[in-house]
Amino acid sequence: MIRRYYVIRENKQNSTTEKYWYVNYCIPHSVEPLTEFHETNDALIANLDLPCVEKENIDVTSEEYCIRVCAPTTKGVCFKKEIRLPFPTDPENVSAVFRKGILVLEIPKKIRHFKIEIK
Amino acid sequence: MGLSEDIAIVETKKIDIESPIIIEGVPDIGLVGSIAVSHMVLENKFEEVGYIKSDLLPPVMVIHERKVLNPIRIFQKGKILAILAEIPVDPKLGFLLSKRLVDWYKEKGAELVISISGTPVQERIDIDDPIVFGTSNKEELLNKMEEIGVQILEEGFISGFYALILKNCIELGINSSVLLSQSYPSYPDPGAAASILKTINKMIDINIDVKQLIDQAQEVKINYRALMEQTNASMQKETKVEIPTMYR
Repeated sequence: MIRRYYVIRENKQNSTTEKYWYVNYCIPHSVEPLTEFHETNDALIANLDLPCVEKENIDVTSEEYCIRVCAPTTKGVCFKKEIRLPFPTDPENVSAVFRKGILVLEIPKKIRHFKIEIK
Repeated sequence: MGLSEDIAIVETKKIDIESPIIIEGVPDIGLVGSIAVSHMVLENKFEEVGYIKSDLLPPVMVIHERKVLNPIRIFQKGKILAILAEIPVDPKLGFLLSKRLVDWYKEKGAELVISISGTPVQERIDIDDPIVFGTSNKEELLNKMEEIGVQILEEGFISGFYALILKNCIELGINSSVLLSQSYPSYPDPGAAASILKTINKMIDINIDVKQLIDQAQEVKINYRALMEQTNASMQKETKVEIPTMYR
């Protein structure tokens, strides 16, 4: 695990030269999973990396413009992700597959394409 | 006082080896290099013998098992030297660091430099045993790599930090190989790192057991999540190199 330490300010009023450090623990309780997106004409495919997660503990909820994923790990950290969609979807048609620690969400687009006849 | 662009290689223990073999692991695609070298160093009990010191490095120190460590360190076991970076190397640091490192390899009389990286594949989830690709500046090395199952790159590009290492090695006449394993584009990939280590076992005189790396892949992924996130951001900031259409 890597922890980052950044100096964010020095208190000028303080007569001592003590510096104030902000300690950023890189693995807080809740983190966003690493995510990749691929878009097709009909759907958005979201791949979420969820290591140390059991399939039974993954919670995916879908709305017309938003998909939410909550997945607690066996290491005490919880993956949380909210995917805001730039298009409407059919929430009941969103599919999810969990394989090799990766959650693949297929989010179909509700957009219909029409060929316009030129008169 | 301004920041210096100097890069110093601090040897905390005397490094006096004849014709060392250098193995480099720097964060990039799938963190393949960092994961592979980190596992090799721990598994085969390498000794820390130095680190990189520069004002160009970000204000980061690494903590492992309660010890505060420099983010780019040098390890040694026998005639093998390992360079392990646990921070993303941005382009400016990359230019200067690659030059300084290769000059240092020359001073040490390096026999071979092996750089470890990943090559992104979208369908990685369907691949159980990632293929290792490779290139080198020496024909004999290419033949040897081919014999042990490395798929030699016939056409294409190497970009980023390892391209600079390769370029500087060519200029200074040092044997250099780059090994690239099929990898997830944006996730830490211990499986890809294991594939590369198995190749290195056949390539040089070392035996690295990758069982633990494969068994604990999920834990490794969660430990490297933050570094992968920073590396993805750093790679997006790198100067975009337009690749001609024929190679896509």
